[in-house]
Amino acid sequence: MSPPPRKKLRTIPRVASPAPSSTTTGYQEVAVDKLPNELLDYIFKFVVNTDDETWGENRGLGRRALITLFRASSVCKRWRTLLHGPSIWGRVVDLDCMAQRKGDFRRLVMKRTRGAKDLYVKGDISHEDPLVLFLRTWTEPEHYNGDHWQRMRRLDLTIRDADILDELYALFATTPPRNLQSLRFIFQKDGDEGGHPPITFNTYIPSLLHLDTNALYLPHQAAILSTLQSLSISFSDQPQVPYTLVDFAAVLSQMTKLESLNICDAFLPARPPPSNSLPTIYLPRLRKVRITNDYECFALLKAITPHPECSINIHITESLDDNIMVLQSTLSRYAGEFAKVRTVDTIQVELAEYSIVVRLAAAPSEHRERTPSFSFNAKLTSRIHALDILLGVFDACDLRCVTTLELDLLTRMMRTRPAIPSPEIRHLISRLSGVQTLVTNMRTVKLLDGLTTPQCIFPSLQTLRLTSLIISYGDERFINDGNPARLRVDAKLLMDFLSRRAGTVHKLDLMQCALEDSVRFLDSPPFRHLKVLWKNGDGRRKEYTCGDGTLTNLDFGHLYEE
Amino acid sequence: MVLLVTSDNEQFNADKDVVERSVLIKNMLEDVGESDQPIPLPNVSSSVLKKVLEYCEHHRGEPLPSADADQSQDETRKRTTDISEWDQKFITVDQEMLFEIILAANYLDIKSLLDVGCKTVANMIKGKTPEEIRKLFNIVNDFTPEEEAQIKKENEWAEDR
Repeated sequence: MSPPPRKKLRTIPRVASPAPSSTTTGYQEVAVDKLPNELLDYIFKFVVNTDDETWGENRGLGRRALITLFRASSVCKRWRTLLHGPSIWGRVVDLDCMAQRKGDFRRLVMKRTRGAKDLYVKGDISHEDPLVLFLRTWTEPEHYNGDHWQRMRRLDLTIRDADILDELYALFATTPPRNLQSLRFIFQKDGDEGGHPPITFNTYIPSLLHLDTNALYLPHQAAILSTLQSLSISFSDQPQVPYTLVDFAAVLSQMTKLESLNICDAFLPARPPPSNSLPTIYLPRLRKVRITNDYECFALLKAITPHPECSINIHITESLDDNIMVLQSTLSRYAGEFAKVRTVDTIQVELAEYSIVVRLAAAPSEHRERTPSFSFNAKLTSRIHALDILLGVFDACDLRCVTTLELDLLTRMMRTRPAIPSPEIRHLISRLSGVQTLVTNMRTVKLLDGLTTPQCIFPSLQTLRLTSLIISYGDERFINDGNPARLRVDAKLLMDFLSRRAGTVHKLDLMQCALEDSVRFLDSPPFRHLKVLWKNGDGRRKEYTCGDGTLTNLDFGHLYEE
Repeated sequence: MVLLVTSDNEQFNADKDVVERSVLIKNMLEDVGESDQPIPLPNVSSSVLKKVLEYCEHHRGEPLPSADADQSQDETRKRTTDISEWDQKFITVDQEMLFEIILAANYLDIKSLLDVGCKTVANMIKGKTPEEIRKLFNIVNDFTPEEEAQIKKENEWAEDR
């Protein structure tokens, strides 16, 4: 069989590789020279990655990328030719790096971007920068015919001076950059300096899809609202919060193409809360909402009808006591909407001291690669027990079709000693009689074992997938230096759990557990035909069916301490 | 099981869902249907294929990146040079092998492996002076003295703050 012609080319240009050298000892030729230009170019794109967090603090990202680019282009003629392509330079226009007294470097960088259709510009501008002048020339026809300004695809500005903020906004108002797709416009006050009142953003930039700002206020009649796909607003550091909830609802109702919304401290507290006064807002494309420290948003969430697979992420760092029922009823509504259009197939519950993750998912269809899901993820500071109340989110859903459950319960969540799951958790579990695959850990198995009728839980269970074998970190955990004192593994508990379901559970998946090479599985009669999957020390996948007569070495029937 | 034959005529048997991490092999299998015929890989040696299969085995079952994802990443999405711990350990090989793996990943169309290899080389380049890069990759400086002087001037501008 000879290789047939390929169906389609990939985005990365592939080239026929030369035959490998017959020897791997010594370098007859320079190894890196074997790479064709296309691959070397692909590597350089990683080198100048301006978003790379591994560079350290954000201010230095573009600067380091630019310097690396200069250095790499000084290595040899081949690299220099490759690295003088304009598209790579267009990505690293870092104003911060170009803030020099002499303009040679600025001119050189901008010259090398010539021919690049798009510029990705980043800058951190304080009051002493000569950059404002430089940036202003971009909009003037006598300088570069306004070319740089109009080529900007993404502009990320952090401004540390109130006057410069006004001046730069004026550039937008007088000369809207028509190619701009993504604008991050952040005001960062220095020290005790006062903030800056939000500027009303009335400029229409038809190509603008993404806006992230703490300095601009969008009025509900702004033309830009109808084109924006993502909006991120935060006024936590500003002296003035521009929106009331009703104002913002009017803004949102115009944003019919919105896909992502990120809100942090954006609203004036309303007294009394306008719980039922907001009209329904249809945002059919909205798939991602993130809310930080804004209780008022619960009422807003209640008014929004987003895409049915919208994911909602709430991060509250203050006490939620007064608002938890509002949150619960709001989220229940979303779960109910989800259940109307999809049969719930998978749910994921994870409760920890200050966080709860609730995720519903429907069965993957042959026509859709991604599993549609409704998820709710919150990090809350509240009375711990209140978090369990949020499990009421599932009350609106018919859970009889749920075949997969991911469950992770933390001992400290439990209300009694010895710990048993709360009534809310027990109620949820009792409704999940169709679960065939349980993804959990031994700590949760132990908690479930504390129920009065443990054998009735998950009667249809076929596959048990454990993510961790550790039950606890010992009684004296986190003593002295904060390190776990003892890790405990209890094989008997797992044996009991499985033997109560002997005949129904036929697969035990330990692929994600850390197992020693030398452990053995206890191959006793109740586990005949149980298939065990695990990875050995070097990460190789192993498989064993109990009772097939082959000697195996998997055994977690030991208790170990560290 | 699928039988693969390398450039040095060694034969490798591997599970279909392992070798299908390679879009090239996946397309070939789809085109020819069920067959016991071996697949020749004239551009990959046995030592490299062994490494590639180790990678594919570890990442078995993970979703394959779509062509759309590639394109959007080139536009505005983040192109990170982070590499997972296992992948880092896997790619800790000599330079000869590293570049062979990159070439094989490109030929076999295994994007995630290609990215791991290219990110590794990118991380090797970052933060180094031209001379250090030349030394690391054994590259000869082929600039004329005039070109050198011009480059030196540019680099002074770049690093002068």
